[in-house]
Amino acid sequence: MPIKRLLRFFNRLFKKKKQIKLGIYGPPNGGKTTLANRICLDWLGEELGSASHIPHETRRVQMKERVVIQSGDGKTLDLTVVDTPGIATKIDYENFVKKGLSKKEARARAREATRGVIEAIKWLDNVDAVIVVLDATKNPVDQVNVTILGNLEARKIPFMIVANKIDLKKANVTRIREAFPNAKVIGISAKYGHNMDKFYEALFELVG
Amino acid sequence: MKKIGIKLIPYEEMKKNMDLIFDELKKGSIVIIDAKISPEEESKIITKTMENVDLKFKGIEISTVDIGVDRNDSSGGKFTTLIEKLRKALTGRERGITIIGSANLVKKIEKTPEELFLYM
Repeated sequence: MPIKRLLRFFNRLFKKKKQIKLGIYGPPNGGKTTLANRICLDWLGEELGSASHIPHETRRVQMKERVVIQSGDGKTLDLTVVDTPGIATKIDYENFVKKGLSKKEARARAREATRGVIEAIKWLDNVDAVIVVLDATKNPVDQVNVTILGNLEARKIPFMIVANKIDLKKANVTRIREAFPNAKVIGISAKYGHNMDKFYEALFELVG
Repeated sequence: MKKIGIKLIPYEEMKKNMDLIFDELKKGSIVIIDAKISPEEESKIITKTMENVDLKFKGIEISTVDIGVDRNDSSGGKFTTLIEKLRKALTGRERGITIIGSANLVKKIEKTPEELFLYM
């Protein structure tokens, strides 16, 4: 028995600290990539991907490994930040044309976006925890949001909701809290970094 | 006058063959499934939708509806919830309905605790 105990001790001593795959999920244009960039900028000094006002800018899962974040009391989390394409139930290339893309570009974007949605859903099997990014200026009671949250609950994946874009006048974090009373909701502005300290605190509570 | 078909697909049939939904949607019908589908089933339907999206078919609008808690239940809904859980465990399906429309036809589905609105 002492040998077993000794082995356990050495295992603990030399065990590589687990990297946590943190999925960033949500509908298109909620600010997922902006948040992923904010996290990576805060702790790595470099961004992860490009954000755009045109929906479905992120059409492939993109990730950044070894994002080590630190809490006020010295704890660390070793994250792989997984930025996923926005989940949607419809993709109309004509909406991209209205945003200024050529028909050819818009059709290609729509095609890639459909694959992106499928990839994002598949990735639910690979993440350890999830941040659901919702646009706080929009009505949160949307079937896509309900589906994402329902899937996380059913798969027992720890998650929290980020009510993003609180820098905008129309933002309403309370409405999101009321819509999902059982979830932890943090209001932030990923673009300007507002409330990120609260976000990191909550992240430690979630996966620390 | 525009004619819109409403097709009822039994939950068991939908489980066996999800393509049934898309056959009907592409015909221009609105599909009603006689159960509230689970979030996992919903994500499968979204995946299937994305596989079906092309220049003509733009996707879907989907909504699940609970059949309300028994208002005469003196336990404030707890008893009904328990019965529902048991029912789900035994039958594998949740009481309610699922409504799906092609995004070409249905622009938005809005639901309140009392009503469901389809914007076309």
